[in-house]
Amino acid sequence: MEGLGYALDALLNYGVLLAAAGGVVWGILGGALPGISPSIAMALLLPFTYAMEPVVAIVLLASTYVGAEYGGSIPAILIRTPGTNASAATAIDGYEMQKQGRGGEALGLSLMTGVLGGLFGLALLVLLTEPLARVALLFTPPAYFALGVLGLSVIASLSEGSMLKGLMAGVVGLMIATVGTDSVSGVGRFTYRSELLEGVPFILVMVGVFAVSELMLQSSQPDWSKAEKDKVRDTRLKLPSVATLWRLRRAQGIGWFFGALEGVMPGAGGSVAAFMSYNEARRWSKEPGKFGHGSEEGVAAPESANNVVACTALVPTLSFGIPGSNSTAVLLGGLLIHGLQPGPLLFTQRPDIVYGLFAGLLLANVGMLIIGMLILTPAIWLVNRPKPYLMGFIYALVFAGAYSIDHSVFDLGIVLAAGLLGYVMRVFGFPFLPLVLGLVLGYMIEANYRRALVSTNGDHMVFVQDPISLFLLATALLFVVISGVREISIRRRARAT
Amino acid sequence: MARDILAGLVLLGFAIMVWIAAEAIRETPLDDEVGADGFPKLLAGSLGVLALLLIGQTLLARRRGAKRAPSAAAEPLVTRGGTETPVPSPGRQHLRAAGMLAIGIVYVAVLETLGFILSTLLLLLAVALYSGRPPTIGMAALAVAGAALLYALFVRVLGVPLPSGIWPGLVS
Amino acid sequence: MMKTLASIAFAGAVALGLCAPMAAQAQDYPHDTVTLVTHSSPGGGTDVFLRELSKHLGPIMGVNFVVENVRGGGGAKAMAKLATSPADGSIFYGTTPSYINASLLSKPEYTFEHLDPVVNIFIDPQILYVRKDSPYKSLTDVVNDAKARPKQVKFAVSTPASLDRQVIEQFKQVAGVDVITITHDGGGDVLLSVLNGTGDVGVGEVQELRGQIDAGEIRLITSYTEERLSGFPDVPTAREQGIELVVNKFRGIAGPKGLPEDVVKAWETAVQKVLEVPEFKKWYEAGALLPAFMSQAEYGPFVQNFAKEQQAFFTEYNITTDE
Repeated sequence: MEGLGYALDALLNYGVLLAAAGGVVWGILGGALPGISPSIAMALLLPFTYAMEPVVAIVLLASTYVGAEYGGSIPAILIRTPGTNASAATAIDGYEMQKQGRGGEALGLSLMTGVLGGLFGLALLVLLTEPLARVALLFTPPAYFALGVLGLSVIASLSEGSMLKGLMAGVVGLMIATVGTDSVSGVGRFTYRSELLEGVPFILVMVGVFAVSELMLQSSQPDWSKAEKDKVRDTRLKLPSVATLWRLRRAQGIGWFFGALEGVMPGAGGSVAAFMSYNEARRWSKEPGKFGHGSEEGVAAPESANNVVACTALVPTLSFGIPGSNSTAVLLGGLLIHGLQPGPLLFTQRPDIVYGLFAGLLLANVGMLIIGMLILTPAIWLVNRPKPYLMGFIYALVFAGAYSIDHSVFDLGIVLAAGLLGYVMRVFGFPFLPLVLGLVLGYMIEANYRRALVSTNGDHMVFVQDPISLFLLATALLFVVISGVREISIRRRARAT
Repeated sequence: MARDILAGLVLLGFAIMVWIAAEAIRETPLDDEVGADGFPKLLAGSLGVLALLLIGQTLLARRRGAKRAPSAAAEPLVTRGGTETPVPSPGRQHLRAAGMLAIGIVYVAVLETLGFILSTLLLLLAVALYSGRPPTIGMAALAVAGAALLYALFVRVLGVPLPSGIWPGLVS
Repeated sequence: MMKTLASIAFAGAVALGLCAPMAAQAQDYPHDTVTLVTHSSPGGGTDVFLRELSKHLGPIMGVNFVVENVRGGGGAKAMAKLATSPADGSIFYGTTPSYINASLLSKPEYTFEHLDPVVNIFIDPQILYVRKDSPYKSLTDVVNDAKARPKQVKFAVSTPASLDRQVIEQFKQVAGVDVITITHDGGGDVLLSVLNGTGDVGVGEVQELRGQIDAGEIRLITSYTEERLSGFPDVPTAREQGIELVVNKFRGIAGPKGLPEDVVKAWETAVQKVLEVPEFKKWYEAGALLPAFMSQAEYGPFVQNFAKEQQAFFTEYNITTDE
């Protein structure tokens, strides 16, 4: 319990307080801008942290991460433009709520579940770093592969009545994920004059498919410039009541579980956690039909997961000294710059840093509630501008964000192509979720499938011998069979009537 | 219904394209048994099969549906916030949507020449005019403000460079 | 009174005279502010290295260094920026093998050939490590086991196009063994794979493993270096264990083509000096970086040769063509 003393010291250090608040503000801003990923938001700050006290610097970076994971969902809900990859899951139902005039509710829900998730993640980080680190070690390539397959298996249940189109959308998503340097041999695949050697940045596809297609669709409406003004004007932040939060406990619990799990697994990260929890929340929901049409659970689950990840992602960083994601890589860089060596010994050698970081994260998560409420007011004001101006602004924001990733005009072309794809998918009635699922999970599935086979010289038994893999694959199979039976019965019924 | 057949055909063509492109992926001794082209080919094959299934399913449904009244074909293209608006003609809708995309394409084409501020200003104006609003001073002011705000946010606050265009080159 | 003043002035002159080489150099360098470009993002390996370097090199050269992160295209953007910048000593690039590989693999408009190597500063020693309870105590154990059980011993390496990966292929040839190579997404993943048994032997660098080494969770079994690492005197090199393999993962400085001679000279002298600065030494020894100063006369051919070897490898393994 000596840690408590260090934590208190940090809480009383006004530098830490400022860093936590500043980090959250900066993170929300960066997260809300598409293209400025949490890791870039952190990296932009990094040079300024050199002169700071180590604990202040680390708290600043970690708070930025917390803020950014939340910030992405503000534009996702308000203008269907996911600011981060993870918030694309929130865009699906959050924007539907906004269209129904429940945007304020959605924002409140995402803020509150985000804060609760963050606090839960922090509790895990403080109390269970050791066991969680062991969980990270349990996941070997076959298990990663199986986890990805479980994530994809939801496609079968998702597109009831049009399973074929869902599957096709999923395959196209997986195809986009194959672009880039091959995970085993290192040769380029579909790299188009080497422009795409590092693959297609997910955020470009997400922003294109969600935001640009929405712009196209809206402009296709007759009288779109005058429509819907009144409804959106009413948007006011509305925090969920305790009763609402309790009602959404299952979705949040699912978000917490996946957030905790994926956070500690390197390579998985926020977007996989957000989409997996969205999937499972839908699968276990009492009202799965509401998903995609403004389900509160569809916002609560990924938002909880996101913010749990922002804390649990620190588990591998602190206990192994390795980054589990780009964001934690920047944090690791921050530690190294201050001469701190992350790893098992950090807890004993520099408890002031570790517990100071915990205290800072507590401040950040609590502060996020207040700062979030303050920041949402101007955000809502912006969205309440007349639609033609708002749409132009969204277009410009999308372009600026996409450009900032790699300073490449080529990337803007990808955004437009993805926008066209999204529009065509909507016209032809293809669901989006399978596409983004394929995109997010594709690399994980392919790379780990092949790595598993490489390590056993091609023996497929490895997927059955690994207990985690066996369990996950069996679960996925079960779900697919159930969905298949349901699909057939729906068709029968449709035919009978 | 015809839409689904068209979608099926397009995706079938795409699947074949991907397969051909996958054939062109280099083979190296560093590869595993699956190969760099293994997964893409599996996907291309699956997409092809799924596309054929979709076409088949639609044709089957059409033959069956021909005996009954046409049903799902008249579903509205878009539903907005629960209230359905009468759809004039889908063709014109798509044209308008394509126009929006075209504005984006022009923007991307001129971005590096005109620079971020000017292109964005024009983009904001173009979208507002495209909505059928009459050009006003207020609109121009908003466009300037919008472009300046984004520039300030990305370049000044975040320190992310955006294209400055040919202008600096002209000065020096 | 006058006398005291004069003596003070004299003392000052002596003091100035003593540090004349330094002061003269500071004035000689044609720029006050020098930009160091890296393709690595802030907090990344080369970024941290350049920032640490500039902290100590700045006072020596009398220059204010600014580190600029030009990401994109795996280094292509950074190389393009350098190649199109004036060759007046105001801008330089932090080199690693990846700038050669990016040039060869993605064939961008501007490649390493459009830049002039200036000096080399370090070699990152490549090491092999195992879990603490692994039966392997040395590289010889690994080789013997790999000979007894071909295609069974599992090596964990970072990304598929990395130098680490290529070294395994060389190792297989030199040692005459066949092993399994499992690629990963980065050094951190390799560490986890070794810790959980997915890989038997990990390939990496001391820096990213420091925490686990200090905690005793992993053990080094060899380094692909000329000499033993000063921080690990008990770890024999691969050469000592009969595997003729030395990996030169260099870290240096390059600039636009046609740099003035005095600029290059200034760098050559300053880098030699900075390697002796105690605080800098402490930093690079903790990361087990080997100081490996090379003047431009040595570094240029070294880089060319390195590139030739890489190209030969890529051609042999059909990763890319050599047009």
